[in-house]
Amino acid sequence: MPLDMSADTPDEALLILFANGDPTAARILTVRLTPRVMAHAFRLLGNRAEAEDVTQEAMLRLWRVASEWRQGEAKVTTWLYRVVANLCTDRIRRSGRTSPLEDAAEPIDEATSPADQMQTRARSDALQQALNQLPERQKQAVVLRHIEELGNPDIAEIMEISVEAVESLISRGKRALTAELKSRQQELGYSE
Amino acid sequence: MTKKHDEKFDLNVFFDAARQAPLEPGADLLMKVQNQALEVQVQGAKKASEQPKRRFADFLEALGGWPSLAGLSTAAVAGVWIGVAPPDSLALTAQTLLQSDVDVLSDFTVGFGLFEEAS
Repeated sequence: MPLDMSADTPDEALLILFANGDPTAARILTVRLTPRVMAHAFRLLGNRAEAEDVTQEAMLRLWRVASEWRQGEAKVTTWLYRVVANLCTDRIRRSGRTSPLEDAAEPIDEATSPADQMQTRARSDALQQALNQLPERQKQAVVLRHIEELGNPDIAEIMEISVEAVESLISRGKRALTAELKSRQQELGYSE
Repeated sequence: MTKKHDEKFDLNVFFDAARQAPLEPGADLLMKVQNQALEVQVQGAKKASEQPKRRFADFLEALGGWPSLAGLSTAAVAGVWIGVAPPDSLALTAQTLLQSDVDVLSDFTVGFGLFEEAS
């Protein structure tokens, strides 16, 4: 499979090519999906090392399920978000903790000024800390809606609940986030 | 009052910030994930090539293993040999058996008087 076809090829088609032994499909899917899986796992766990473990495990499960994948049944990303959420939930329950915030030290667009970069970093970190305080399902719904920018029907499919239940989780989650972020505004040193 | 104050607090700036600073996987992780993918592909190909062997093994198992297959082969060879060079006694036995069948049938019909001549 030529690499220039990759941008237009849907994940589901690439997965079938992967199952048929196409090594290029394996490379494209790795590069395309791993960052999304990793970012989502980190938002749910708040810990880089654990997010990496979950990413590896989720991607391995994807490779293993590829030969049985039935086209049109589900989107690959929907399936992955669900697997990531389950793996994160298992880890959180096993350890019985709320993860402390880590400094992820990720690059922010270098075109912005250092002051803007610091502001973006402060807001992102503050949001992560506030997310860590939320109940798991609220956190998952808010992250999928407002960071991954998925529609409510997609979120409902991922979380296997009704759209109304998704709306309710997001609404409660955002209320809790607002309260948490407002209360820590001074302490965390960010501005609105 | 609180509601009005909450409305002024824009959560979207925090979500925007989170999207601008996503956690990116390192090269090591990408390499591990890709290697896992290629490994699963190799295992899949190996399994696919073993499939016909497995089908024959399943068939053999259903027959009762190698001893049963040997017995079946012997019976088949004997059948072919009898077809090619039948022993003399075989023709006689067959004739006797067929004749006997006819006798039984004629006795049976006679018993019911089906072929008796009208006189």
